[in-house]
Amino acid sequence: MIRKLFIIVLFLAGSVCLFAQEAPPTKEELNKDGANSTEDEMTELIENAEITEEIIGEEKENPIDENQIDEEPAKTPDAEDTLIKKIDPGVVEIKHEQAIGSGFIISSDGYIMTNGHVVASVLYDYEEDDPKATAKKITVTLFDNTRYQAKVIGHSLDPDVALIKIEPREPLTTVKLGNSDNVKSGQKVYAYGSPGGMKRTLTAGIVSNTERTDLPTFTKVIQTDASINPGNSGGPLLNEEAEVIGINTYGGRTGIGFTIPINFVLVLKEHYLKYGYFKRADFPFFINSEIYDEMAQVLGVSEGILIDYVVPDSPAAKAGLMTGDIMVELNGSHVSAKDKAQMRDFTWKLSTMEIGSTVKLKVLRGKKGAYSEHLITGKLLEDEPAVEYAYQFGELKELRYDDLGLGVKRMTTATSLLYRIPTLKGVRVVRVNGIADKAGIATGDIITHVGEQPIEGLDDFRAELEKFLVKTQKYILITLQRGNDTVKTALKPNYELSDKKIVLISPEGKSEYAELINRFLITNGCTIINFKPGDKKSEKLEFDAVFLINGAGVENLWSDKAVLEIIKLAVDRKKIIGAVGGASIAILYADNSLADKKITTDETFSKQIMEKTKKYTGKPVEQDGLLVTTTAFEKKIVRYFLNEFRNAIKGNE
Amino acid sequence: MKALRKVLCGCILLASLMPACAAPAGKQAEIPKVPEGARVLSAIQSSVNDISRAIRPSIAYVEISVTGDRDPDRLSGVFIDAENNMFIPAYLKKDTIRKISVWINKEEYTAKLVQSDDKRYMSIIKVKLPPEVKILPVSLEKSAQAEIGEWLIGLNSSGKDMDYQKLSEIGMVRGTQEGFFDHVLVNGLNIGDGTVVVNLKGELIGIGINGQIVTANDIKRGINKIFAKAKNPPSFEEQKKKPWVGIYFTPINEDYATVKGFPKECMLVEAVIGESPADRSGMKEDDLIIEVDGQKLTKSGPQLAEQFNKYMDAEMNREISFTVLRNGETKIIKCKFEERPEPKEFKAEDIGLNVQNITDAEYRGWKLTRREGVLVTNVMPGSPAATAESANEYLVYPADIIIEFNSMPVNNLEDFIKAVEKVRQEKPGVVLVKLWRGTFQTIQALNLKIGRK
Repeated sequence: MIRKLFIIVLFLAGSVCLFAQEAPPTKEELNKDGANSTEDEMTELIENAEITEEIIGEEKENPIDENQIDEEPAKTPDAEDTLIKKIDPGVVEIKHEQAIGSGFIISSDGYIMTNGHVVASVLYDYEEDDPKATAKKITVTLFDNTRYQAKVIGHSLDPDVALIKIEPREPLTTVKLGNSDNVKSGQKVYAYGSPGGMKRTLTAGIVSNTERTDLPTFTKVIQTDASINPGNSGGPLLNEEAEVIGINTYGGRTGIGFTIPINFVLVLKEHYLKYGYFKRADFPFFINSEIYDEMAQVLGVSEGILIDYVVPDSPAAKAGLMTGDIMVELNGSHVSAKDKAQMRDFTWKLSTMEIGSTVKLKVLRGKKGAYSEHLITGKLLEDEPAVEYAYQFGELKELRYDDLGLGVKRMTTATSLLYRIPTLKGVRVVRVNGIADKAGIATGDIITHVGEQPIEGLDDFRAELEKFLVKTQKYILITLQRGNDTVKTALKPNYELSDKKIVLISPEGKSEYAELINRFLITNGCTIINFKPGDKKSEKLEFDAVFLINGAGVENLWSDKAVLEIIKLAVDRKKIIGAVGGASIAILYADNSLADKKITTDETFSKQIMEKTKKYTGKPVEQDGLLVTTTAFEKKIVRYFLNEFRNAIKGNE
Repeated sequence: MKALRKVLCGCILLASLMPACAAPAGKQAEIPKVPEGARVLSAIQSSVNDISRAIRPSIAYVEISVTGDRDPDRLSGVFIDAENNMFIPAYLKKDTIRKISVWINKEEYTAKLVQSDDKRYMSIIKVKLPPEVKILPVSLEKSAQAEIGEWLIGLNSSGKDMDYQKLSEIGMVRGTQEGFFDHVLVNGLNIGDGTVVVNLKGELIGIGINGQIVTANDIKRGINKIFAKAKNPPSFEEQKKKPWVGIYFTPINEDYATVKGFPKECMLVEAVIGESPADRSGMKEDDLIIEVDGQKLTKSGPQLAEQFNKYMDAEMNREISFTVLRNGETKIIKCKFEERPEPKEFKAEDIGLNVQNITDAEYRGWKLTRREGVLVTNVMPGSPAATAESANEYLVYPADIIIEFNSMPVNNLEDFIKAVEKVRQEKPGVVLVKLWRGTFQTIQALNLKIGRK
């Protein structure tokens, strides 16, 4: 079932928005690093304040005057003090290279809930091609300033929830979890977190609304006027009993903040523990809407859910579901949606049902006053990855050829409905610059043919395109569908390394960047001579550069005789040597004279490299003479390295 | 040109001879009145002077006041015939002109608009002169083309602040530029609106329009068109008509052309709109246009667009012929510019929708997925169609295609109008609308009791 997202796209585009003008800014705002330097100062202040409050609290707890009339204990600052005491140990600051957010501890062995966007890398890295990628080094700081490295167990950007884990030295204090179904508008709530990087900040307000659907989010959200600012992301919203009722997610405007209800969060936690992601169920594909007042009048039914459209030939269509049906029961239970909030609740219910289980839908079919009941039986399948829209990044990974300036994503049913594409065959263009731009390709185009070959999906697009690239084909014909027009054009790749031979030395285990590196080499048109440890080096090995890459077993490169010989040859012939991660250490084993060159490597091998050289810099990308090396810490760095490597080869004529 | 060369050669010759003809030894050499190098400049000065004197009677300072608070536009005009017709680089509308003034020998005279061309930004005005005032029209027949390195003289008329002087300057041709207009690129000339540019023979090379020197040929063509239009002035309705032949085109991608063995200098026909003049004449999608009215397209890429527009010269009822390449064969397609059809639009204010039929043009332009039904082109804020649960959400959106209204099928505009009339008579409180939104269908219920004007 496809959510009715499309209207909201237009809403965001044209309205006087409450929360954000454009896409990413809101989320970026939420996580931009605040003034770090003030952090320590502020922490101190908070700590001092606590001591003072404690003293006051003590006095008040021991009344001296026995003549004092017993009164209803007033809501004094005590309440907040008690609250802070309960909550403080359970709330953490979460930080990585590009963002600061908050989180809360839900188990003493170190499981922490936060927002997906606090750990995702796509928000901060324009180059990121995988919306599901996460930041590399996530540090969690507890209330007592102890710090731990965290691991992402699972996350999603919509619903914006993540589960991370640290390995604490001692059992941690957890937060108490509430029940978001019991939340009422007007009740007092508190937010706790690190706005602007200022840890352990308490703000207060009320619940302004319990079921906000104006945001294009998967679930309805709680709206509050408690200050929620960049840095609060992932932190808890608490009721007066210090129970967590939600995760603070969107804010940054005065008096308007949004919180994901905790009941949804806990279901997601289970998904992350079990599957590592939000594994949504679906009965593909239909679009539904709530039966609002006018609709009820004209249909003559007040309860139920309207099935606007059933995608032809989909499993739902084959099971007999039809456009115009009114769903009244799901697996024997009554279902209904009168407004958007109820509609989202239904979506949530369906998405969190068990994949593979049978669904029985009871629908009304016919005309007003003459409906007949029908039973539709089908099976729940796993939902497709979400497509990007408004400021949601979706879940589709981009297949990108950097040196062609072309990025594409696979077609999905939701894509075809949202972007009005009347076909599922082909791949959708999502990024264009350079060569692809010169060829007149535009984002939104559907590539239907490469050369004369029709394209079904991502795999054959890659296969066909790379067939031509490997041959350094001068012109590659591309056929596109643009609206109702068929456009034919030709890509003319630069093949900047077309006359170069590169010996590619890889360990047994595949590098996490193997695909990126392979695409780079192919797109640049160089001839690749593959070599693995244990291979025999040919007598007349001619090459222009040596490229050592990382992967499991990279240490074998350091001792493989043939590998070291090849490196030595490169040094003697004054050829460029490039190395990714731990592979760079092989260079020092091959030729000691290179110990005077600046070099870098994967940080986990820093001890080993320092045994061989004093020139280890630890820089993400290092170039000295004919040596180009990289830590390969993340994809962005590897991309940068590849550019430098290419420039070095070209410059070393 | 030759005269100047002779003088120059003479000077250089003299200069080289001078030392040989030094005064006999012992006698003081006479200091020449003008230093050698200055002879060249002196020759230039007399050229400029002579030509300016010849051209001055042909140009005049013009001021145009239009309705509104703006200061009058100031430019140079040039007389083009003995009937006191003057060419000015401006687009004017009869109903907004307050006054056109022309100064000759520091006396102010009025002028009237004869006709104006908005595409070319040119107009012809007729100056009301007493019989004793004689003007000298510039010769359009004796115009010439400029060569690289050639020296040209530019003349500008100035206003009261400069005492109505005709200012002169000299500059050198550095090149030409082809486009919608052909331009002559000259170093050192201040190009104002109406600057007249002539060569050293006094022949017209071009006139300044919008900061560029437009060639005499293009000026002539423009003037002819204006006079033709003046003979048969289009009516108010005619003026609103947009001429078209019904093709969507784009310069062919050069790399694609190379692979396919097509010429790079051609326009690819992306689409031919059904029932248009081009369609009826047999133009087809994927045709490659290589000539227009026998003129070969010589540019490629983005520059081709301007050249093509120039040759197309869209004008109501103009006949045009395209030479196209189709499957390796050359074909001539002849058609005539007609009024671009504006599909009939229906506005239902009580519902809040503007709708129209779906023709080829809409199908292509709005990227629709079907042709049956009526296209929603506008939704009125505050109307029933625009009122949904969320404040900024609508129930119906532009680009939606309505296929059923109040249970009546809608295949075209007439169906929809009938359905709306029925609703207006029967007055149901709520109506059901079935529509296609891109690739999916949706059903909406409009509350007709709200959002009334």
